[in-house]
Amino acid sequence: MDNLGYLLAGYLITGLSLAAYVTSLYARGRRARRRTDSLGARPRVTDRP
Amino acid sequence: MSSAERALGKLTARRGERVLGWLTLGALVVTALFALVISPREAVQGNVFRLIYVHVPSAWLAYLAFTVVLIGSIAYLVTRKIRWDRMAAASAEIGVLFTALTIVIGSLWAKPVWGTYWTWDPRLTATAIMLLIYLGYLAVRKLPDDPAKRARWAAVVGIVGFVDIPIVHLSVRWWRGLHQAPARLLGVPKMAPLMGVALMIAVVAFTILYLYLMALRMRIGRAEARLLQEALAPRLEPAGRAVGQDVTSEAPARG
Repeated sequence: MDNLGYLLAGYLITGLSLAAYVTSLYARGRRARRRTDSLGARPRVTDRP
Repeated sequence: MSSAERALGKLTARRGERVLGWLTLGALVVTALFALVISPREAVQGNVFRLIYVHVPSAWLAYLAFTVVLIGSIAYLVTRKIRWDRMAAASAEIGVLFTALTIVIGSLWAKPVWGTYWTWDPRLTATAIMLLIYLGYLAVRKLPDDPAKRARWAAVVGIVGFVDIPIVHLSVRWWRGLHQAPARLLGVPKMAPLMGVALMIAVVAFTILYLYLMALRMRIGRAEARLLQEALAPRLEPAGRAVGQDVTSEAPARG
């Protein structure tokens, strides 16, 4: 009993899921930073001279 | 700031995150080498047994992640510091990912060994319930707009939900089922020594992976908190008039 297909599928699913999660986290971080920079460029009420 | 919070801060700094990233990659390569090449083929199950080197570490990470959710939830309710809530939220997300992986890999292993992808075995059922509980935890975090209320509700679910973890772990001892009892990692191992070494390496590698994912996820949590703070701050339009709380628009101020 070897069932290499199940073994391959298990390792592939693990690798792909982890890669997808890490990629999604980096994308989420970049999006948050971009939006923060974009909002930060607009003067706050407290910044008024 | 407590020493635990300082240690957490160091770990989640960008430099610490990069070091953890490389450590994780190295540990996972060593794990793959031991799991797929060095460790011997199992006499009865054959090569499919090698799924143990991702199935068991994934289950361990789920336990670890949900224990951190419990710690973060209790710490938040005691101190009311939002960073504990952020830690619990990050850990719950990672725990859900690894619980799902545990179930999927377990199903792939079960098919050739038990003849079915799924059966209502006590361990499998308790693990499925664990996944539902923590999906519920993540859903609760989407409900209230008020961050304090959200953190409070989530903390309660994070504490109550933890009750299922010992049930999952001890289900193989309490009830008869198809799932085997846990292989011992400490003391006298029930498996071949090289298999035991490979499993230990995999568990350590996945633990480093957890630390890396936590560092990454907590940095994003902080970035999203800063974004919310910026979005809620009252802004001036070019003419100098305050525009109030614009939380959705990324576009420059309207003229």
